[in-house]
Amino acid sequence: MKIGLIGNPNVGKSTIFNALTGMHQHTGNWPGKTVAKASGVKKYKGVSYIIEDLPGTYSLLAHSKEEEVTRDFVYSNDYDGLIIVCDATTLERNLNLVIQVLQITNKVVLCINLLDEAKKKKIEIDFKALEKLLNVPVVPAIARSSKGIDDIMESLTQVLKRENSYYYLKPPKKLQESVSLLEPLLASNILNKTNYALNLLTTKNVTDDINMKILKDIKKDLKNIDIKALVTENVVNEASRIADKVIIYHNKDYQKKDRIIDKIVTNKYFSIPIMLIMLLFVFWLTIVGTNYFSEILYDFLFSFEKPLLNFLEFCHLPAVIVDMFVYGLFRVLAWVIAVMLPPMAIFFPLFTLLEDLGYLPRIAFCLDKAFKKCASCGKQALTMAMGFGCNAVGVTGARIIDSPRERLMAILTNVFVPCNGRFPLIISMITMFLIVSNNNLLSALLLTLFIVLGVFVTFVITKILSKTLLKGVPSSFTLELPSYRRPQVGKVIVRSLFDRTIFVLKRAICASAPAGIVIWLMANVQIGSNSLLAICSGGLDPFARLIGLDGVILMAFILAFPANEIVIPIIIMGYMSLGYLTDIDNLAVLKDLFVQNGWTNLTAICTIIFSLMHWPCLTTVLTIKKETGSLKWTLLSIIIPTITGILLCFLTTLVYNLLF
Amino acid sequence: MRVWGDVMKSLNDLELNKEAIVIKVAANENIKNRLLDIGLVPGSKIKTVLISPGKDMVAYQIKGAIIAIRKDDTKDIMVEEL
Repeated sequence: MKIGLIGNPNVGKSTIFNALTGMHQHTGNWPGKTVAKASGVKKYKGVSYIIEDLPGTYSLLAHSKEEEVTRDFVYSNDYDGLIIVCDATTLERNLNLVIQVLQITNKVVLCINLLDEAKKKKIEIDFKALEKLLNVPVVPAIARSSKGIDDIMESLTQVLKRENSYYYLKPPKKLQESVSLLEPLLASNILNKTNYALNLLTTKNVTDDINMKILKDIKKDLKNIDIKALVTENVVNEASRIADKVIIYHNKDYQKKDRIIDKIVTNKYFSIPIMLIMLLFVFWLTIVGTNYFSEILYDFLFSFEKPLLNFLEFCHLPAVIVDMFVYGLFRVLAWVIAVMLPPMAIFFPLFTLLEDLGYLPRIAFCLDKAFKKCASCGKQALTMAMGFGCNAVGVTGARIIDSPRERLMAILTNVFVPCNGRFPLIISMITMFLIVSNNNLLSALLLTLFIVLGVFVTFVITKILSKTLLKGVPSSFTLELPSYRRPQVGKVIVRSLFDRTIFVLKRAICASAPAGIVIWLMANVQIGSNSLLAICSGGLDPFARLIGLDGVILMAFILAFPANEIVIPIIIMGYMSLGYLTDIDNLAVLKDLFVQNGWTNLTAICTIIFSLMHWPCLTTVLTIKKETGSLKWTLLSIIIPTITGILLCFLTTLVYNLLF
Repeated sequence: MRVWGDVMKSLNDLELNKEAIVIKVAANENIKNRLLDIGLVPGSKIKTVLISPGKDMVAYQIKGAIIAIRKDDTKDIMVEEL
């Protein structure tokens, strides 16, 4: 049994999906969180149901790429039933989509989600009356606490047994005559002929075998009428007729609290400071936590090194293998975990909380003017926010932007937001070199500054793109500001820890283990009197020095193409294998290792800048290829940030050397 | 029957926290369909609730939801203030 899960954006489809299937699709309080289709399996009373989570849409008359996925699914008939999820607090608007869908099929369960929020706002819904009016089962639910999930499945089993039928909606007056002319011409197996005829009138390219001449004549008669508008109006009016009968607002001012918060966070003077303070606060917590946990993890993991070494020697493995395993593999893994895990495990949940709260669309609202000046739109801010988690997600997320031109700009610039995999590098550079006083607040401030730099560069590059490769004027768009929801702190922490952090860490480990071996081999394969590593990094060195780095750092960035997470580990391996230091027994020694290899504050600053601005990682590049379908844009997505980074590092080096 | 011509005005001229009835939705095709989808059709109620710091976007309450639209896109939407 194949079941589609549809609904308006941000009504909790993914939450319902997760509750049904036990899967962990990432959820958040913003429209457009799910942009691609996901599917999972639910077993109920011995029957397996394949549930497909489709991107949210306001209407079946799709306008953007993500919405087409949903429209095509509903029209495909390639399913046994549908679950339509509605937001109880904006039910009237949600009913538009419901009525559109019900005109196609009656194998539908209507799930009214977020009932708890509606209760808080004193919105009462007469479910029985709604059920009667629409002739489909209506199930109230609070998906976040899994309430109503079994009822959905029970209703679904009932609905699937039904005879095919549909909801009849009288066509708009001006179109009635045309519809009645078309209806007799339609194939007999078409269920709702009225709706089908209306569809024929609204679509531009008709490939059906119906008498084309009649259709053309009819369309000619209707030339001066906006048919799409009439059809939509008709649906909206029907929805509001139903809504009047089933929704009671006991408190007319139910949105007062939200509006008060909105007035503050979108205030002319406070909005930007509030944004920065939130960011600063999140970074500060991350850095405090990182300093604490990294040390503990480090001690813990390296306590295994000696026993492991002893054990391998005890097994009488050749010294070369033992060396490779312990110094090549184990050390790197331990480093990756100790340096990477704490900032990820702290930053990600914190950011998810902001997401859950519903604050991010407000940022898009406030920043729209700045984006408009770059001929883009505020929604780009949302894709950037997604980039904080993972740039590949940010790139896919750009589907929420309707205009293809603006979407491309968002994709090409997403890498300027550091993903979860690059955060640890930036944080450790700051705390090791730039703010040595252990002042966490200063470190957080500096980190915020670097992020602001990334955002600034995003604006500049977007502007340049809009004047050159992607010329155009800002397009139109609508942005929904969802009502604030109290985040589920416990659930967020557990979920983001298990779903995201473990995922990223796993990726880092998988990528760094082979890299560790490659580095070890490069360090031990001798060509002439030099190791391969020394030759390669030596070759890169002159250029790298120009942009404030050195050969090993630049090589680390190149080798870290599969996963940005492993830049620091490769740098460490590079230095260690060049034989400057043999033993690292705590985190502070790491700085010594770097300093002995000629690091200064400039090196740290340039490493941060280069980390912010260089080619995207392999996963992101592949995603960009998939999303743009074009080699040209994929290559540009590599070239643009790389050139930007090189230029900026070069300038920084120049200025630094002049000053100091 | 009411005579609309006199009291009709652009949505852009509707002040903050004021409610109105939508009379006519004229906009470029792209955004027009989007606006109709979210329930902004002739006859529906609309209320301005928020103006962006840059003053380029206004958020409206439409059918219980808050939707922000750029002023450039709403200048040809005609409303009658309540």
